[in-house]
Amino acid sequence: MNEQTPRSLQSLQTWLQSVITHPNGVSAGILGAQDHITLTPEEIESVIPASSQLDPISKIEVYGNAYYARLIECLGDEYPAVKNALGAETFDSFAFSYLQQYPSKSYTLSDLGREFPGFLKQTKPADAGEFGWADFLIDLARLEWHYSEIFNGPGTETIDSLTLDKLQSLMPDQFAQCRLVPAPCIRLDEFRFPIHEYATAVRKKQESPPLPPPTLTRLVMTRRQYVVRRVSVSAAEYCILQELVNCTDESIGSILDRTAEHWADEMQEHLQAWFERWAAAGYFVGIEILPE
Amino acid sequence: MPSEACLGLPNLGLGVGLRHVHFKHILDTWPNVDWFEIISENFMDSQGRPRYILDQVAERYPVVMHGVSLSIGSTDPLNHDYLVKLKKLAGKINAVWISDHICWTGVASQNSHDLLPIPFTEESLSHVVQRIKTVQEVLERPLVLENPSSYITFQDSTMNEWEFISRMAEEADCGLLLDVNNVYVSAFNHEFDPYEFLQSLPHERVVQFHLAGHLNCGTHCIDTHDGRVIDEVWALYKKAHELTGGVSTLLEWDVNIPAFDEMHAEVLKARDFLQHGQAIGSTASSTKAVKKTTDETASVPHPINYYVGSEAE
Repeated sequence: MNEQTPRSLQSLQTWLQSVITHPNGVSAGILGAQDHITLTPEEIESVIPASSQLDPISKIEVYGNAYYARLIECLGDEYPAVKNALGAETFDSFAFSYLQQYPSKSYTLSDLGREFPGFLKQTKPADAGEFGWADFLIDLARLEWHYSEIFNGPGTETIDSLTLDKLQSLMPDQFAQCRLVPAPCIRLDEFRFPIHEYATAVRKKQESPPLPPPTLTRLVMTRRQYVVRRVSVSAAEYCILQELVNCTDESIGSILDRTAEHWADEMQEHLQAWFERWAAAGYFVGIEILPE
Repeated sequence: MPSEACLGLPNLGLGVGLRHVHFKHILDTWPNVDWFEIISENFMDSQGRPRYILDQVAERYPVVMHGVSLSIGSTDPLNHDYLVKLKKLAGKINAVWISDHICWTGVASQNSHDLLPIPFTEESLSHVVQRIKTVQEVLERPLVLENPSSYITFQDSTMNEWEFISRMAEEADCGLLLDVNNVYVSAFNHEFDPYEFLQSLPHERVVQFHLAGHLNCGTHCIDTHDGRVIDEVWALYKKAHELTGGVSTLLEWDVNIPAFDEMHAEVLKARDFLQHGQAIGSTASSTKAVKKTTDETASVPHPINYYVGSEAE
């Protein structure tokens, strides 16, 4: 053990972290961490002693190899459909780059993949065009992140959802003056591909599900009994539901009047059925009079 | 098993980790298990199925919270939001105690999600002791800290790991989670006598034991939690039991997790081993060192790898 004045704890920690997270390995990490501890790989024994069986570089590599391997594996668990679509090797390469740009700053691995959809968007090749392979992957990643958030976030399992009976108990004038309270787990998003079908096929362990052709797809996602559920809806239903979910300071009557300017025919034909389905699916947890 | 209180904390018997692959089996059968340990970070933010399962389990079994992100040795400031969430969950599920590791996980706001080793210096000791005291004030309960497996030591260390841990526990007045497998792994890697480690600890502060399997690569061991407990670790466990009088024991199995009953049977060997001096049915031995290629050892299983995934229809 050392008889000399030790280096500070902070300098040792910043040095070791810099070394084990270096993308080109431990030896490159030692050369890149000169700001923290000045030494060459050949001088490493002045910081980390060897054992009779293993040299210091190999010892540090246990941590260095594990760092990227572990976090890439976690990202693969978070994005199984993206990994399936890309293939393991290409996915790992993307994940490796992602971790260098977005190292974890959270106590929980649940946050690790938060920026991954945005990262895929940033790194989309300039000549990739629209509705191509890159957009498919970007949309797929966004869908899988929605799933994670809905799975872990607040749900409606312990609260009452808004029932059709409750809706029907209101007089038309009362109903129009109210606002709906959306379930905390409801999400709406538009995608350029029917990526939900691909994601489900992967999660059901279907081997090599076909990549779907581009089709504008509008999904409503929620959670019932702790299971994430999603349904593809028409443009009209999506638009009206989105307004009802997002514009909670506006009355139902006002929203329906506004959206009817675009969707009058669809609303006349389907609005009753939509409300019945929304109630059955638990998209809303309450209806209340708007404050004056 | 004896049931004397250690630091006021009871001997819960023989427990296993609560892992998501066993959720359905546990809910369907409510197995006859003494207690469960959870990875705190897998539940503290969950408002979905993992948390629902945990609430069900906590109604029926004693639960202990075992964290991997406290980073008690880091020179970064303590994360008070994290501590508040930890305390809140402990209150909700009536956690019997809260544990983490004698390590740091990151610095400069980064988290490596690994249990990185601390240089055993006076500066580190003072730093860690002060932070344990702060954490215990926030949590309003004793913190229990585990010796991690390590693969490097520091030339700057001025004391042994067991001296550091002993002084830390006494000065901070905290409990110890003695991971017997980690003692074996670190002793192998750093070529010290694991029995000297066990002998030197303040035994009255040991609240809990961990048992686990590891990977022997020939030149070094890696704490993989992916298999059975080897005979040499059972022997260390027996010695630790003698020295402490016996405390709560938990088996960690986080990779290649078998069926629940098989995992539970592994920890129940502790009872047989203590009574008969031999783990019945034990086939694992460190003499069967498994040489691994670089590619195979590159992905090192880890308790942090346990991850709760989403389920979508």
